[in-house]
Amino acid sequence: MSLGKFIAKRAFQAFVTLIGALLVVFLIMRILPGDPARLIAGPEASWEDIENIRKMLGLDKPLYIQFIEYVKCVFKGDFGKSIKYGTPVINEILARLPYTVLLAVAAEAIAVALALPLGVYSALKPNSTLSRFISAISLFGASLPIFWLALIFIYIFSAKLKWLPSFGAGSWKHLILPSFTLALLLMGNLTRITRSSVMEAASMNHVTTAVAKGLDNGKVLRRHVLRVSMIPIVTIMGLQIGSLLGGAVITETVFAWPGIGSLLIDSIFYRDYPLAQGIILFIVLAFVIVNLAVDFIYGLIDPRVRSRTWS
Amino acid sequence: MELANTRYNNVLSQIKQEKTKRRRELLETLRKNKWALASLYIIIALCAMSLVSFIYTPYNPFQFNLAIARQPPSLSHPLGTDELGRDILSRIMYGGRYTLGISFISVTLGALIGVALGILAGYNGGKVDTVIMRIVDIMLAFPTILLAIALVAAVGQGVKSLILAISITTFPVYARLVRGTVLQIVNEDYITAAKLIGLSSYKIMVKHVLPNTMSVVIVQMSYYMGLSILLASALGFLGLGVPPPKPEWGTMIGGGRIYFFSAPHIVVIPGIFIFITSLAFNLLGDGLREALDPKLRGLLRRG
Repeated sequence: MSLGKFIAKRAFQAFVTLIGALLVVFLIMRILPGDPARLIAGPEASWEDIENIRKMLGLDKPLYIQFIEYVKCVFKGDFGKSIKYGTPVINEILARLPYTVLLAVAAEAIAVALALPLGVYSALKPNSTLSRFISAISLFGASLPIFWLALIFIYIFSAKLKWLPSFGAGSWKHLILPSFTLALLLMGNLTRITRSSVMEAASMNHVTTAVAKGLDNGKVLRRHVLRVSMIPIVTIMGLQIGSLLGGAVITETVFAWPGIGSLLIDSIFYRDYPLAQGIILFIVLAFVIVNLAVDFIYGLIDPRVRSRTWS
Repeated sequence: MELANTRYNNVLSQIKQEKTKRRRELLETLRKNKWALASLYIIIALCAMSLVSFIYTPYNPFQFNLAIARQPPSLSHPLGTDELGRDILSRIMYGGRYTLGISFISVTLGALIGVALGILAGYNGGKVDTVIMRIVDIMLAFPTILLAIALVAAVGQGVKSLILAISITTFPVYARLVRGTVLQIVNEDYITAAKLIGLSSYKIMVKHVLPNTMSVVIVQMSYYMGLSILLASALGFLGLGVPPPKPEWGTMIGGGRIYFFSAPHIVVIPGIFIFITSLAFNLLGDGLREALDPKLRGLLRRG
């Protein structure tokens, strides 16, 4: 499959996925408890007022027309208005987004800095004590309740040692605890992927050739093993950042980090449904786009991927 | 026809022998893996603890007594008391039915839906396959915790919506895994033989395709038990899971959170139980994966 065809096909699939995700969000919105018109009108509104608001919002039209209008609005960047703040949802999201991006990038950077050397080491010396220890750590990372880990960190570093602030944002010190907590969670997967892809790359024929013709080990590792094994590692990194853009809900909430994750939880408790839907939609959008981008890069680097069909 | 029939029966009895042999080998490998075995015992102990709570707990898990609130572990209260003076051991025992029960039901439910869809997609191919896999792709476009939060917010808090949320967020992965396995076996001789002797598609799917997907599914279920325990307790902690005063382990942490600095055991103890339970299921999953098929190593992933 040519590169252009591959890109077109994947872009079309991503578009279908996106419309489907929109439909899911739209349907979840429809089963939400409470009538949005009544919620906006307030408790003292008369039945007529509510009817008027319903007409204004287009809630009296058939469901499929409502869905089409909804999709149109979303593509125009109009995510509706927040009930709590009275401002367009997209403004609220964009105001919080820098914090989420900062946290995601910091966490991923820490995770990569720790996981890459650990993963390479345990791939090269799989039976050493340190390697066993490393795989135990990555197993722990997959089993730890992150909200609990975050609380323990706050207890040790804020309450007892008084080194770091426990919540909010403002200085670089505020960033340390949330980003390390998240990084520990990401590390497990990253270490495992690094380990297995380095092991796989090291067993390839071209590496055997390189060793046989007498290249020294450091050069073989850098030129022939690491380069090949980077592809899956970069993929995982991309996917992790993609999911962090919305998936850091728990960490952001525990540390009161003012990103879109904690905004989502706030909006749910405030029953600010337009805001909640907007955020969910935004996160899914980001996720699909990052996935698509990773696929493109993958297809660009490795021509074999293009022939591996997806559906 | 006659020939195909005898051949079919021959193959069936061969498969049966092979199966008992494999099962014996499986138990043998599992017995040698001390971590997986220890995990299995821990899981059994935790389940037993939760079951015992139906007939006996040291104290009433809901009875509060502010005079003894926030006491650290002691002889009369081995795990201490919580922010309202309730016995934490009794609450952990009682809460197991929520944390473990919800995870077990939703993992099973997710597996049932996912396996059914995966077999339908893989065996039939064509349009059925495209439609099912598109739905799976759409569901996978939502980060796990996000979809669970959205569903719980939509349906309302409670045990049922938690089960619904977790099973809906997990079924797509089973569907994708099972479809992959089915595509590998659908051209095997025994499937062709079954078609030749005129077995219905339904019978082939249930009798011949389904059993061959089971090893992948069982391993994934063990990993997902670990994951959904984390998911259910995280939602409980956020105040979107099992509502208080029910002592779901995550809900307990959420309730004790404001007293964390003065009485850390209220938060630490339920967290340890969540961690150990999730860890045990992940280790068991690793053990099962190795025992069932070493080739699956790359295919299946935790969490």
